[in-house]
Amino acid sequence: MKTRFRRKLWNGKTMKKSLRKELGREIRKSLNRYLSILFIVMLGVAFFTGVRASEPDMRLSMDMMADAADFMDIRVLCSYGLTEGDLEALSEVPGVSAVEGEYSVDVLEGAHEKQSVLHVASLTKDLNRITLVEGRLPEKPGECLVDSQLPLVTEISIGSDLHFQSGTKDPLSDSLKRSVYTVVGTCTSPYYLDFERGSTAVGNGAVTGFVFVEPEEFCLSVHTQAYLRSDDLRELLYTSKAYDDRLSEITDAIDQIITGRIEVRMEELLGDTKRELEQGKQDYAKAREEADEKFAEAEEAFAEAEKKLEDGLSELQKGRKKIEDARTKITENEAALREAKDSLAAEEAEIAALEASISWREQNYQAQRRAWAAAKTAYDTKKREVRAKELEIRITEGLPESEARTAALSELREELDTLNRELSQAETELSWHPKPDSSAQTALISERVGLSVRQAQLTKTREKIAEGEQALREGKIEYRSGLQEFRRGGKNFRRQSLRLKAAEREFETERIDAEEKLSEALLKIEDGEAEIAEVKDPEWYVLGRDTVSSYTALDSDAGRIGALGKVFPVIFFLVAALVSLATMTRMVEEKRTEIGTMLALGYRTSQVAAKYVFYALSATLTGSVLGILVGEKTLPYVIIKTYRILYTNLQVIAIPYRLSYGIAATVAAVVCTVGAALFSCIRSIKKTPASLMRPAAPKLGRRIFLERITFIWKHLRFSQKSTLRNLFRYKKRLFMTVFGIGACMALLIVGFGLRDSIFVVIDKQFGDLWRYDGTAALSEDADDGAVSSLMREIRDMEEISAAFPALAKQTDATASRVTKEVNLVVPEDPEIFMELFSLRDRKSGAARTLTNEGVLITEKLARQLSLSAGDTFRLKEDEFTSRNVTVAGIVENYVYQYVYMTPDYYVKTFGREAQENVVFFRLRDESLIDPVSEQLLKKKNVLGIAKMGSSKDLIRDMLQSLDLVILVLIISAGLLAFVVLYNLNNINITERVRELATLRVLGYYDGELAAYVYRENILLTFFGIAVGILLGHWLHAFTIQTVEVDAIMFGRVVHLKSYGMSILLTLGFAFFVNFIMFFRLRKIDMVESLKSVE
Amino acid sequence: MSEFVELRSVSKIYRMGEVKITAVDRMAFTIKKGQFVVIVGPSGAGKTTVLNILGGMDTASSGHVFVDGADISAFDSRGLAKYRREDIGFVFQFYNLVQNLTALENVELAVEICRDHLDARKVLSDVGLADRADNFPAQLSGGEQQRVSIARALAKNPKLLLCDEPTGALDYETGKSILALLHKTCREHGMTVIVITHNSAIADMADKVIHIRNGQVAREELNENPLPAEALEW
Repeated sequence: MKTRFRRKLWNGKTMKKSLRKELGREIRKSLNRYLSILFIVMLGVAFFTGVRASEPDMRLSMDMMADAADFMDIRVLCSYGLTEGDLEALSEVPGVSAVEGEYSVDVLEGAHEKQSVLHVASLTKDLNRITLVEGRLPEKPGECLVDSQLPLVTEISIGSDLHFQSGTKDPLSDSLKRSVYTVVGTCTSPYYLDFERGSTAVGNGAVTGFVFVEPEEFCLSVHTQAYLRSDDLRELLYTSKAYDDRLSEITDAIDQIITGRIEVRMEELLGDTKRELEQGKQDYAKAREEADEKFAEAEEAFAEAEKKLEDGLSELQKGRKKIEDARTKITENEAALREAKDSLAAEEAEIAALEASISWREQNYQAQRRAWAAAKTAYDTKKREVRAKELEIRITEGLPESEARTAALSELREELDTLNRELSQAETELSWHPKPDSSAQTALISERVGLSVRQAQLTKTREKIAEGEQALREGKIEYRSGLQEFRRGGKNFRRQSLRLKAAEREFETERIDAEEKLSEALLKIEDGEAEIAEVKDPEWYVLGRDTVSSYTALDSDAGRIGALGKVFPVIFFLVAALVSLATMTRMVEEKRTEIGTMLALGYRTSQVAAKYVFYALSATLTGSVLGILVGEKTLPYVIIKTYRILYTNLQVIAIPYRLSYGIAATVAAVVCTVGAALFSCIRSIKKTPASLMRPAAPKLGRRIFLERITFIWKHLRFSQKSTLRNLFRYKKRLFMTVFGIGACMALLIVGFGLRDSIFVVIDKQFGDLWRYDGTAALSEDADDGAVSSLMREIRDMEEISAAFPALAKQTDATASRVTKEVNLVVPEDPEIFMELFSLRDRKSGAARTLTNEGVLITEKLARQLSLSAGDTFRLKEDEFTSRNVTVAGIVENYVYQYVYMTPDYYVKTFGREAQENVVFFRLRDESLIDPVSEQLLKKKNVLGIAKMGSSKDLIRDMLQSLDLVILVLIISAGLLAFVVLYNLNNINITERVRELATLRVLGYYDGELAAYVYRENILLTFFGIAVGILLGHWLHAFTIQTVEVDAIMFGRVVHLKSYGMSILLTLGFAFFVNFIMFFRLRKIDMVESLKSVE
Repeated sequence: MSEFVELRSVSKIYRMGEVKITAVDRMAFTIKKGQFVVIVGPSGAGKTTVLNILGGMDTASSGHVFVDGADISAFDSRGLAKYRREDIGFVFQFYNLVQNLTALENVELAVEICRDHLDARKVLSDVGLADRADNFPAQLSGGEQQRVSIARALAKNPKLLLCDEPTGALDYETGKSILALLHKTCREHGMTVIVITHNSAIADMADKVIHIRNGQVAREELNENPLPAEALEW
């Protein structure tokens, strides 16, 4: 399109031949101007495209370097190592083109003056191909290749013997076949682009270099890691999105085989053990069941026996009740019997008394009778008496035998005798005595009958009593036998229950025995299970190049260059565009007469404009093309070349032309200059040719504001006045110069300021804020006891002046929907912690204290999460939960982002104790770090040592690379200043050549004339510097934010010294340009003053 | 009266590649102090070259130029600059005022660098511009601008006033008034004034007229009775 237009212009009707010639002549005539446009465009485009291209070029170089060495795309590690089977499985994953396993071990090398830690790895054939630097490859067993860096930093060289020692508890012979290897060559590995050789758990923790031996030299059964390469990925640019996407497809595919491989591996490792354990489990279960059955049976039998016993017991109790009842009855009967006997005795006594009275009365009667008998004559009565007596005796004899009876009987017999004697007496006396009343006798007899009845009744009672006594006796006998029987039953019961108890006891012991045996078996099973459980599933790690530190470092360096490339070239370009724009405008203005003449001659507007458009276009296009050609080759080359100071092994420098940048820059440049030409032309052409042909009305002299402040103006010298007026007269130039110098100044401030900001990180972070010398990582198994005993040991070490254990872990902090990775540090002892960590506010320097009120967070985190003291944010606990924590304060910090928390607050927040996993320590003397780390590494539970010094060096190295960028900035600022000032001065002089010539005619010396011009320049330079300070300040802040990575907060302050340096340099550049311009001033022809105004 | 200005066989040859152009060819003339001299000749006759050489703006290729007894052709560039600032007052055809300075300041511009100078404001009022002193050139008419230019030249109190076509850009009347001013200056201050012009009419007011043609003095004539400027007609 453009070319067609151009051809049309050149050959067609638009561009007349004379115009074409005129253009050529114009260029020749004003070659200076033409070249200055060309050059400034070239510079702008070169810088723009060059710096822009540097980032992708660095990445491309890295990618090509990696491809050239068949560098792995993916590496796979497994916590148990990788078997041949694993490798095979990996090689079958779609997308994976080659797999190669590597054996490696970190060893100590002690044969040379200083002990060093070496990373010994097996040579890989197809991937990660090494480059031989010197010597040859190993040919015989016992030969090795070493890191080409090693001869530089150690005494190891080709021909020397390396004596390896194991750095761990395991003997070296576990991993390597021999311990002495002869160095036959040096090489570089694509794995290491820079000086960093990584860290290790061996020795002082830092790997000095690598050593390659043939894989056969290893006696490891599994590969340490596997390298994978993909042809698909080779096609793609490493770090490009396409690469990342394809990479994650492949890693996803690898992830899918992991579970299967873990199963296979676990089967290999634990299959037999597991099966044995399974058998054991089954046996146990059977035994358990049997035992349980037996126990159940026995228990049932016991229960039955107990039941029986209980029944017996209740029967026994019933028997007792019966016996007791019987005994009560017996007692009752006895009492009744006793009562009956008592009443019987009373009855008997009564009867006896009655008897006696009857007898007495009978005797009385008898006496009467006897008197009667006397009366009845002696004998009858007496006879009757005798008979009565005899009857009485018979009656008495009829009585049951008793003493009373006997006595009565004998008494009666005696009485009979007496009676018999008395009969004879009575028979005499009867005659003397009246006959007694027979009724008395009858009454007596009836009484006697009554008495007999009672006596009979008494006899019956007596019989009954005897019966009762008999029954009682029988009852007693019965009771006694019942009692006996009951007693027997009781004894029996006791015996039974005793026996049961004994049986139960016996059973219990048996059961305990059995249980013991069973639990022993169970314990064994559990042990076995625990053992198996302890053999955790192996962890697989599928890692990309982004875990290779030098690749990451180079990538982020490229990113930093890219970030810079987004800011500086734009400014540079802007200035270039403005300057060429000003030049073009000026040119068109100068040519007004000519334009007017052309128009008057009848040329069309487009034809007139064409000259200027082509003037601008050709200068700009040529400049752009040259800029692209030079810039895109030179700048990336220089930048990559300088970065190779750090990345010594970056063997490829790929600097292709990148059209996109070039086209963008060219289009912008063309738009600026051609636009300016067109715009000016159109503005001019709008006027009538006649007015154009008259000389431009001279710019009106004008009073400036300052003149109104007479008391200042009065005191100014004439030359100062004219300078000031001139400055404001040429506003465009004033603006351009101020902007140009300002930009130069700003670039310098940014350059030096970056340095300040960066080194603040090192000086402040490692000097002021972190006052510890190292950290020891503790094993996960270390519990509280282990930690405190380790702490005792550590505190006892003479070299260590202070130490505290802490929980340190990476987690995420979230606030206002922003999530950032943070390091949580929970020191066991906040007091010592505050000794080793300076906690303070950056601006005021006021100390901050770690309390139980909340956490302290670092400044950048606070800014990123927009937090201030008193706010809360969420701190992740694990994948699923996070807790709110309160910000108690914000502390100064530059490297990484931290959340500090007291253990109490940790407990309050997470509901559990913080388990310390790291020890921070400070040494009495920094230089003791190596021996101390060695000592510490030997201690139990210490996994590794991180040294402050090496982190500092690492970060210093990393940041020092920016020094190069700063140099580039300074150089480009110088170029910019030169080009801008030169061009503007040129315009200035051209514009005012008449004036200057006049001054010369008036007799101004060269110096005075120069001063006349320079006064303005100097003033403008100072204005520019002032503007530059502001611009630089702002740009610096902007750049810092652009360049800054998440992990680091750069200082925000540009040192006064840097401002000073920038000012001096800017003045220097300005001086240099003015110096160059001096020659041009001297060449001003006074004859110019005689010429008419154009 | 001694010769104030003397040219002895002055030549000026410009080299344009292979071509040599002789602008001034063994020119010789003398001027006395206080004379009003008009150098007249057609375009390309070498007037301007003579003026440049006389004004110390250019050096002669050969020959000698004496001004007030000093051989300025032997001066180096600094000597010439000194000569320009101390001894020469220059009046330009296009006035060459610095646009950004007021009339007074334009005069001061010359005064600044001159040791033995006159008071700028007084000189300005001498040329009749007392009330325009604080105007910028763009606010002045051509004649006024030329007066400023003359004032600027006079303020330096030069030995020699060189005027390059002083009326060239002016209209008739103004031109005459400027010439009158120059003439007055010459007479009143005893200033040696050299006016270079192609306008031979001006020759009538000169004490001495030097006609130049093809880089050589064609003829010199002394005017016993120069006309006043007002009487000139062209």
